[in-house]
Amino acid sequence: MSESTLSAAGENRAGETPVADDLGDVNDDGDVTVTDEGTELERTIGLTGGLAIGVGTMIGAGIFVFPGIAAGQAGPAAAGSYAIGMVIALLVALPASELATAMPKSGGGYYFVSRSLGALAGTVVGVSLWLSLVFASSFYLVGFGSYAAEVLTRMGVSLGVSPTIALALVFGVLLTGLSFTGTENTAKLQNYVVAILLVILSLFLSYGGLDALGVFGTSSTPETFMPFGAMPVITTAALVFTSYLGFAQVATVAGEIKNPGRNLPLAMVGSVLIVGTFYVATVFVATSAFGSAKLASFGETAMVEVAGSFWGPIGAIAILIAGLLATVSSANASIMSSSRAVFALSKDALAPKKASAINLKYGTPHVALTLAGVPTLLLVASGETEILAEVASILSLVMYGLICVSLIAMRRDEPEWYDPDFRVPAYRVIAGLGAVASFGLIAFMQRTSQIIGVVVMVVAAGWYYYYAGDVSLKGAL
Amino acid sequence: MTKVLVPVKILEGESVTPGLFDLLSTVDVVVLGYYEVPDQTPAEQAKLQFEERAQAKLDELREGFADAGGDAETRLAFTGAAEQTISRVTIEENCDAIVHPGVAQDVDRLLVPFIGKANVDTVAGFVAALVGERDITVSALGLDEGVSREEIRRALDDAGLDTAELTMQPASTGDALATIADVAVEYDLLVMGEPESSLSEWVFGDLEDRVARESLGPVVVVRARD
Repeated sequence: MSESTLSAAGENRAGETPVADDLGDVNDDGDVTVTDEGTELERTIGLTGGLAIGVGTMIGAGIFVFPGIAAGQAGPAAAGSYAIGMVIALLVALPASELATAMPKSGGGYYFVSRSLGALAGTVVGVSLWLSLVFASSFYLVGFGSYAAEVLTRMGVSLGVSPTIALALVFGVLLTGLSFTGTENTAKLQNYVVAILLVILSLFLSYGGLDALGVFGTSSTPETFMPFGAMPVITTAALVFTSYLGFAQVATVAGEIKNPGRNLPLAMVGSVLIVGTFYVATVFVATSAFGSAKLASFGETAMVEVAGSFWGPIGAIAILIAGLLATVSSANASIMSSSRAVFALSKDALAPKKASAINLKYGTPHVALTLAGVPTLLLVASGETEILAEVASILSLVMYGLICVSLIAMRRDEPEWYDPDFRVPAYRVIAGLGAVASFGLIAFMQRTSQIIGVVVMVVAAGWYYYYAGDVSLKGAL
Repeated sequence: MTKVLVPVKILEGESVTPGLFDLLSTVDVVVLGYYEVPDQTPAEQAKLQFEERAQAKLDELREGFADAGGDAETRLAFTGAAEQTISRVTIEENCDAIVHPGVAQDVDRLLVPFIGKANVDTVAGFVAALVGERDITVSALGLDEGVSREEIRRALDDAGLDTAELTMQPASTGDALATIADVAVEYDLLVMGEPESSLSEWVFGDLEDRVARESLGPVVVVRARD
């Protein structure tokens, strides 16, 4: 890849220039990148680790926050909403996989878009990616707060006011603080957390599935599948799409994935398939157990009630623990990816170099982590679950759409260095549908969320013209 | 020629004391300078910020080895998993042993505790190559119940270490660690074989910690080969 002729150029307002990427070649075993000067960058995340990032980021919201809300809006057809989300996610995961294997670098979606569509689109996507992760983290933290509050309630602790936001804030501060000091084993921990989660969920879903089919007594009477018609199914798909933000996080750590040509596509597509299956099954089981109206009345901790109805207090506790684990792992993974987005922007001189500075003592990017952690806490304080989720989705969807456009642009005029290990079959159809679906889904979101999304993008574009209008990145490797 | 790997946490004040330059002048040396990043940080990001500083330190080390009459290659790695990097480079460079640098004095007395049975010959051969023509007292300590005095003596003699003193003190594995730690205080350097578990565990595991705490000196772990 070092024979690319174009390179990043220009300088920003502070006089900084994009760092030339001489990231050299991945060795045959795929476990190290050797730069032109011979410095080695170890690749340490395997397929399991990649899947854990994807699944761990996604599964928190889809199962532990949304089923009640979604069932209230779409009835049992909420399962269909999740399925629509999965299809859209797959349409984007495939193009993202191809681009990631061609450019296995830190920054994921930002990197592809800036290289194929240029610095302006890149800035918009980079800022969107950063903030989308910030919005998503705060949404996960509020979810965590609801579960933690439910634990307190069940323990008989009554505080008069709802402690959800306070708990979410406390935990957010804790997570941010932990990430500052450089926890060495968060990735390993994440793998275990995800494994435990999947086991609890599988048990729960197998039992619930059999129960719904009448194995343990009377089969539940199916209610009308789409009690509110087809339209809510689509708007609900837009809402629950937040449950699929996460497969692209795998691409933000593309520079650290072992054997990227194989593991990146498998981890991205695989994690969407895994969580999608769990989501659809969960909603089916949950709506069968309670009926959607009742489910909706339980709100964000609906799954606890469902588990309680199967196995009594033990079931409820198991799901509560699973919910805490899931929301923590989602928030943690998002904060980490968010700081990688900031790094990618700053490396390309689209944000000040200082933003990616590393603290020698802890080895952590303290500025980038602050830029992820502080806004997250502010947003948590707002407590607006649905808005947070939708804004996170909108900002990601814009990136997803542009990733699809990037693939088409790359393929139409393939640069010499473009040599992906994985090629999307019928790329025009898949990437085309992916782009249309991604942009289209935004139309079904609430007005407030749309406005916030647009404001973020306009400000990002303004920032580019103000700060780094001279920087060009198109085609640069 | 015998080759050893010296992994050094290059930006965290860990360095190589002059004694080690002299000690390793008889063998080929690969110095692996590494900086371990936590999960929050991409290796690439650390490279951007610290590469120059790390490379400069590494160059100093290379000169140190050259001045002592030895020969050292250097490699620089930024990694999220130091163990993975060390075992990868060990295999790529085909190193015979890994040196855990401690504070090395002039090496006069060298202790070779034998724990595993499989690599008695390899360890003895390595010690002979390392000592070379120098006047270093080698003491062997047989700790494994499965390996007899005769076997160790024969391995030492075959390697040309006829003068090495040999003490037998068979013990269970747990006690063996304590025994080594007790005895190690009197020695400047420890050379030991790699047991069944993986090389990296051996380098960073219990034994090394305890021994290093007691002796402060460097510990060389000889790789087991098939």
